[in-house]
Amino acid sequence: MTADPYRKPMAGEIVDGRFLGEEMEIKPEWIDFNGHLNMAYYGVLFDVGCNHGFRALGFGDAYRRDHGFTTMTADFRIRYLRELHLGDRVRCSFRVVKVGSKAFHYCQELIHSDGWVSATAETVNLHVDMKARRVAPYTEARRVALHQMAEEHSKWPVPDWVGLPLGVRN
Amino acid sequence: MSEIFLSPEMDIKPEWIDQNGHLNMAYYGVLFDTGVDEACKELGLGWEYTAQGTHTTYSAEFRIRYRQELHLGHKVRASFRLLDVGPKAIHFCQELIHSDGWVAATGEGISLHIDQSGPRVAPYPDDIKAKLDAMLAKHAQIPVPDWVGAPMQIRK
Repeated sequence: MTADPYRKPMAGEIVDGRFLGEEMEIKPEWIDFNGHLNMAYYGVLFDVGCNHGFRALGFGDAYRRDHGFTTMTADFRIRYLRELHLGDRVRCSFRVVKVGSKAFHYCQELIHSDGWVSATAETVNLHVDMKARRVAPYTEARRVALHQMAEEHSKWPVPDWVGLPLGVRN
Repeated sequence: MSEIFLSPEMDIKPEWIDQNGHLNMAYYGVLFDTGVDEACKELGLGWEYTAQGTHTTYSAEFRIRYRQELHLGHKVRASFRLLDVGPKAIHFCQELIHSDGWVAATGEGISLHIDQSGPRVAPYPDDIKAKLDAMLAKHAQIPVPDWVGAPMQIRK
């Protein structure tokens, strides 16, 4: 058993090889002139939808308060696969791709309650000293938590869309 | 720089500030998208086009690189530069520029032209394709930023 008081491993659940967060709803003000979820608010869902991952890793209010470190996004990419509409319910998966000394790379799927994937995301997240506003090495407990999760997730294949360049088909 | 399209100035809303006391990552996306809407007006892909109810645009991909924190009270503009134009899609990049001149974030996106009767991807009408090609030719004179197309990765 881990004696790490910051980790909340029950924040999400593993279903069919995916680490899933809570169900989320689409807000009416997120619908655009196309009558569907505006592209920018997929970002809100992916951000809210990574909370179970960060809680399970021990990042959060208590860690911020006690250690003075927070996390910030450095790079974030969404691939839009299928439209979402008002009333749709979605959950987000969270999979660690790679862990560095001050940053980690993770990917997510936004999954409709009927099972299809509406969008994918890929993110680089930094560990930041809140006072200095500078990237800083993980504390030992966070480093251990990240590597444990990375090893657990390494049982699942890295999706083939991770790391692809953007471009138009002619 | 004068050749690159710039949006009007935009404000940060109080409800977009997160526990880190700065603009939450997701709302950079709202600012970039608002900037794209402004460029679409210029290209004939704005409201007067989509309101006809036959065609519109959808986003296929979008990527943000975060460089500097933004805070309440900051004012920013979004640039818009075409990188490539296909028959049914465009590839573009953007910078979110603080009123003091520094770049808070970069964006890179693919936008699709959509026939709403499907909805399915469809070729641009000739007049809009001509506008896209003209803007692309203008933007081609400016070097492509070195961050375009860079793979996502962590530094060790």
